[in-house]
Amino acid sequence: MSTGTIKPDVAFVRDVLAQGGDDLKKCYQCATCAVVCPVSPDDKPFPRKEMIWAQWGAKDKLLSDPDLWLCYQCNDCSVQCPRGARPGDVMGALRKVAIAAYSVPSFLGRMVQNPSWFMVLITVPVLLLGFLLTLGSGAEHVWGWSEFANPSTEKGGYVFHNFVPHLLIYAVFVPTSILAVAAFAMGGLGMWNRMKEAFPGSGAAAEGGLVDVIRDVLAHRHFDTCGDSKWRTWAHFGFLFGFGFLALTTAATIVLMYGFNLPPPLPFSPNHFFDGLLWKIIGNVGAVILIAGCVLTILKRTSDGVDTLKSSFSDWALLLVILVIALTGMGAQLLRLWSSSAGSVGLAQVAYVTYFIHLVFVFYLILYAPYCKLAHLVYRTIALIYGRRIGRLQKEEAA
Amino acid sequence: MTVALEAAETGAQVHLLEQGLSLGGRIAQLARYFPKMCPPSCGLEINYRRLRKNPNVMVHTLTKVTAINGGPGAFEVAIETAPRFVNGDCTCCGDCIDACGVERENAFNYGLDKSSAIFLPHPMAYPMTYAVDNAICPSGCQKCVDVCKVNAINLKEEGTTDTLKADAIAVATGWTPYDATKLDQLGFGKYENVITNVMMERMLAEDGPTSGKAVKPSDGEAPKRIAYVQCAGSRDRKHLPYCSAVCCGASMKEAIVMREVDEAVEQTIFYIDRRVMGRNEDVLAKVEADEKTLLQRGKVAKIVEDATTKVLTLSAEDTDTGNRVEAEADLVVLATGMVPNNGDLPLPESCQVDDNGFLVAGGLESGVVPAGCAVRPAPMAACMQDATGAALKTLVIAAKAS
Repeated sequence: MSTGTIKPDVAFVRDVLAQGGDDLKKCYQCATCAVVCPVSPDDKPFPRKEMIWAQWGAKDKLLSDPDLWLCYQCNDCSVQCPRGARPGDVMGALRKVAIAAYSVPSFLGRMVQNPSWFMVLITVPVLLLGFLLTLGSGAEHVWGWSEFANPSTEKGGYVFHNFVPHLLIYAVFVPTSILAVAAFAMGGLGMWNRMKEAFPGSGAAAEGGLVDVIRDVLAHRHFDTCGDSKWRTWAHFGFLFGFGFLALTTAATIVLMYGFNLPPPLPFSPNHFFDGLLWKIIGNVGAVILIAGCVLTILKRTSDGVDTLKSSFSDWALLLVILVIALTGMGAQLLRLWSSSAGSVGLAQVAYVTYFIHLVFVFYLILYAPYCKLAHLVYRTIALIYGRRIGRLQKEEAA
Repeated sequence: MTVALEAAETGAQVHLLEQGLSLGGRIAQLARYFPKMCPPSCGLEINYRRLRKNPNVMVHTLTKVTAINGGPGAFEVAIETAPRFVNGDCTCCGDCIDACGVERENAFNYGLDKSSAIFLPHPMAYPMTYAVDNAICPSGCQKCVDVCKVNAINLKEEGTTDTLKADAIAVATGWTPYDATKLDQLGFGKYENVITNVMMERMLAEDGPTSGKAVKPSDGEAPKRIAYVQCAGSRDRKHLPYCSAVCCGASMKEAIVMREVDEAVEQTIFYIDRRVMGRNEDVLAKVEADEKTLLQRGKVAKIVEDATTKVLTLSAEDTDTGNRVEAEADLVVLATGMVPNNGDLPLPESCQVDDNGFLVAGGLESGVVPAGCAVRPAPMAACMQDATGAALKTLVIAAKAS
């Protein structure tokens, strides 16, 4: 065994306990978890060592440990654990604490994961968007709250860009996205350097890199090796592909509009119902998949079976934000169509409010992506690439 | 038995109630005492002799308590005695065993061998009298009755009931090994060469089914590599949440005895913690010093059998080095824990039972004094001390009541 001084970080241990790792202290280091784990490598397997590091408050070791992200929280270990220490949930909690620790600026990481700050954080997009929409009154084409008070029609229907012009959306979301990307870049770099310093790696580097990682993630290869929580494969599949379809349509629309000056297909529609019908179909399929993933996750997280995960605020916050985005997106669309065909001003206003809520939550998700659970998208990818670099592979890849 | 003796030797009148066919309990089934390493026969013999000499103890075997009424100084204990079908005239000559053609699984040896339907419970039985397992007797079969020279067998014998009066009650119901078939990752009942520690005791016992040698149940050959799996069910919220206290010492004892039996055998003891207390650390030191016995830190999470060779592979993480280990063994001994036997005893409500079925120590108020493994998992020596204390308590209760 290596020798050295351990500097216990008690605040770190408390964070882990608060983020869903509250059974951590039950662990007595029998290592059943590290043996039953379907993805852990044979050489220095996880999560037994992470359990004792977490108990000891060995923050620096854990924050530089790529193994945190090789775990998919399938919870086979938690099911088999003789003590009920729930190593799978502790690993999940450690990842949340790591996300907060990698955060730039770091205070945002702590705020986003703290339930008492939620109302303050959601107020930022509400106030900003709410304020920007007051600027539309008195303009040549009235928009914003003035349009809301007196909805106008186009091709016989109400349309959202009369309420929130495209330009306003870009003015808000482009800088926000740039901020998020910058925060991810700084956080990711910090993580990479930590891993490089603490785990330079001894094994031979494996083939491949980002492309292989993305291929594995898309195929949900690691989720699929799980024994007791198979449902998570399908739930995550719903999130990834639901968002994927929606991102695809959004990105393609922007490229078509600004790259080629083309409306979304099918373009030659007689009225607003058929505008961009093909895109609408793809987007709706995405939304349905996303909602299905949310519903499955909520049912499983609230059920009481061996495959139930422990859920902390961070889990619920992300899950509910995604669900609100999916439902308000779908709702705004349906209300718009309904109000248009009914010619109802009142319904159009309900549609506008729904759309406003939708934008607020999308704004929230992008703004706080580097600080909430969603950040695993970047940090896990980085850890998987780093793991490949140092020959730290999941079991079946090494075999 | 010790509670009864200690109380009776002060002059008290004692009824000793035993559900089984013989006194001696689990001790009679051990290969050796821990930590003295001698066979249990001499200790048992000493107690039996005290019993034979003492007219104050009335022994009831095959007897169950069906009700306990009254209180300290005035208990009424209803008992039900099952028929043994053989009376005390039996000389254990063995003619009936030769005549009997029916076989039964020998529960005393945990099913490692068979006995005839009429049998001696074990070589150190008390009373030294045969018994008949009439559940498997073919109807109308009289072979044993016909050959018995002393007319000791009566297959028509019926059970009896009685009510005993007592000032105080001592409960020393002992323990049962945890059902290892519930440990599905470890393969007991599925893989022939996975046995339990109590089976290992029977194998290593001179009077056991293999005359003191460990063998692989699959082929009867001597194992070259033996693995002991500690905490097989104990300290596990899904099985027994408590530490069974004796299994670490028991496995170490078995490993030491095994090296006496076969000097070439290689052994590994997989453990979470090595729990031997006080002077028993000498035993640990002895095992540590043995170059052919490896103490391997890490709980065995999985056992897999090679279907053709019957070799078993055990998976664990060596938590000292942090690497996974896969060890092969010809014979795996699961160190299964202790389950208290109080379950079907109709205890008065004043007796407290904990979450795991153990009786809460005490008894001066309730008049029911628990002792030994009825209170907590404990090694034999501690149970003997318990017994003396319990005997004294029963005498105090009786004295207070009169």
